[in-house]
Amino acid sequence: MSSEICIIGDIVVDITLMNESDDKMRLGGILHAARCLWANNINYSIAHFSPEYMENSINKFSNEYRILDNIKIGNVLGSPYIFYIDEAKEIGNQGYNFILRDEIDINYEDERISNLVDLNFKDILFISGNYSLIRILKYISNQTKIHLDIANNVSDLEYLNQLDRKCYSIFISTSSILFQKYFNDNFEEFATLFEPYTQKLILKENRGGSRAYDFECKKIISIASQTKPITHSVGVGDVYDTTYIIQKEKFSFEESLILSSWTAAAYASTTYPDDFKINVCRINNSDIKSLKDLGGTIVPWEKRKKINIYIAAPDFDFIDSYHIDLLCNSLLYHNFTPRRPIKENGQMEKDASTQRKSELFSKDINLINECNILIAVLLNHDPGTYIEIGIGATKGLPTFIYDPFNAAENCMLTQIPDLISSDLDEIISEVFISSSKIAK
Amino acid sequence: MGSTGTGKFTDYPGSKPKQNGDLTGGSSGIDECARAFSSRLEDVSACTYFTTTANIPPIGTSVELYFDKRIIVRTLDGIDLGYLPTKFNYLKICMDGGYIYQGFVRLSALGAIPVIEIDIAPIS
Repeated sequence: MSSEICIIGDIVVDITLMNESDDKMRLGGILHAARCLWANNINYSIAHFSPEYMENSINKFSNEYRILDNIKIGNVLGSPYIFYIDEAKEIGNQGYNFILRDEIDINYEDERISNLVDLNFKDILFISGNYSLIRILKYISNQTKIHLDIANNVSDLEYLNQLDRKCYSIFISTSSILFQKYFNDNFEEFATLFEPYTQKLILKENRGGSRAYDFECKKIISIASQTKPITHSVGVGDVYDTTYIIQKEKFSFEESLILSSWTAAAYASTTYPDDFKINVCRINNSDIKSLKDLGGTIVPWEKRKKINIYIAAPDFDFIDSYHIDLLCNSLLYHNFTPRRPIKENGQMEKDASTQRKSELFSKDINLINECNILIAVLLNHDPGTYIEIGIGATKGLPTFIYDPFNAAENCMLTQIPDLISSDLDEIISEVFISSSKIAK
Repeated sequence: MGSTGTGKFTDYPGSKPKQNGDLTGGSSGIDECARAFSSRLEDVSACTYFTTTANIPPIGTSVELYFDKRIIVRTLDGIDLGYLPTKFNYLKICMDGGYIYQGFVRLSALGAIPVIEIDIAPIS
């Protein structure tokens, strides 16, 4: 029995700090991709960089997840290889923190690396990390298709200049440094930067779908995401990549990416491998044409900036604005435009004249008219917030209430909005879903 | 003050939770497809029931799910009431796997925009 696919990269431990209900410890890094290959019943191997103390755990994982070749190609020194994750769902910036990253030193196992050439993998997915890609790539057979995920640790295109061969596919995400550095509101222009290095470029846009460029036929493909509240988002992008590699021979470029999107959503919905595998089996048994027809959420990064979101809240300087800031920072992280009326138009003075009140009222109404969505944050019984909820709903704006303290009881308050929730993840998901309709 | 531990790796396929309700093991014991749910329907005013009657079904009307490019909620007589929001798209793979869903209208209201909410559960 031989492996069809090999995954190469770091193995780490993921620890989520703000996890309220699920404090499960998981091996991460390339092992998220491994779970996907296992769930698809693929013969696969891994070649990894990891610290010595993880060896028994990785060996156990390898047995349980039926890895054919578990090859350690570098020993990591100086760091425990632990990822602290502030927030697991990517509601906003997740605050990834790689402990002792600057102390990392890798002892490469050169003999094992040079032996990789004999394994003749059909496909290899490199997930960028703290290791030297160049040092390994020269030992990979020319017949092997190279796929490269550069979402992490790559800050400049110079990195790709060092490659001595063209990749089959490159994956990048909107949260990567490279995307933030080079994307200039034009996907085709951005994709062209990668033409010397790959046949296909795939941009993962979080809950807003994904876009891909095939340089052979010069065609852009847009893939919907299956956006709904999730359990976690750690390793979901790696599962997306891996599914594409598994499915690309059986399906068209577009169809294999649709399956990637569905499988990534299934991975994000659970941390239980058997639950994930059941849903992968269901996805693979579904009719691909139906899944395509069904669509989902598509909100390209550059279009989000034009989605103005009115924040109805007691955003006064004498009130703790933690929850308002959290919401607005999450929206900004995803490139939406939150509009805070009190910050933009001013806070009413205690002894404000009728003329001043009229001026502020007009400005706030004008601001609502400029907005596509209204989100209210319930912090106290602020009459302005309640009235703005009514105005937003009457105008037909998608109207959501973020109720962090579960305080809403009044039937008008609970029944008027399209969604009321204490879960910010649910609110952000609905913003994506509504924006998908607005951006059409 | 003593320290606490953060446990060990437990997410291995086929393994059972150590005790009911803990988060270890390979399976949660909960199948997303087998869960009942409630939802407000989308595009009610564009669907057959409303366009032909200018009305909405009474509370308690029996409904079922079926698929025709989207997941549609219809009466048992086959009249479309509205669509499920896209966050329920996952039900498509459940339906393809043999799940059948039925339920009732839990709320219906005629206003500026007709509103229908449903309770749905898998029946097989």
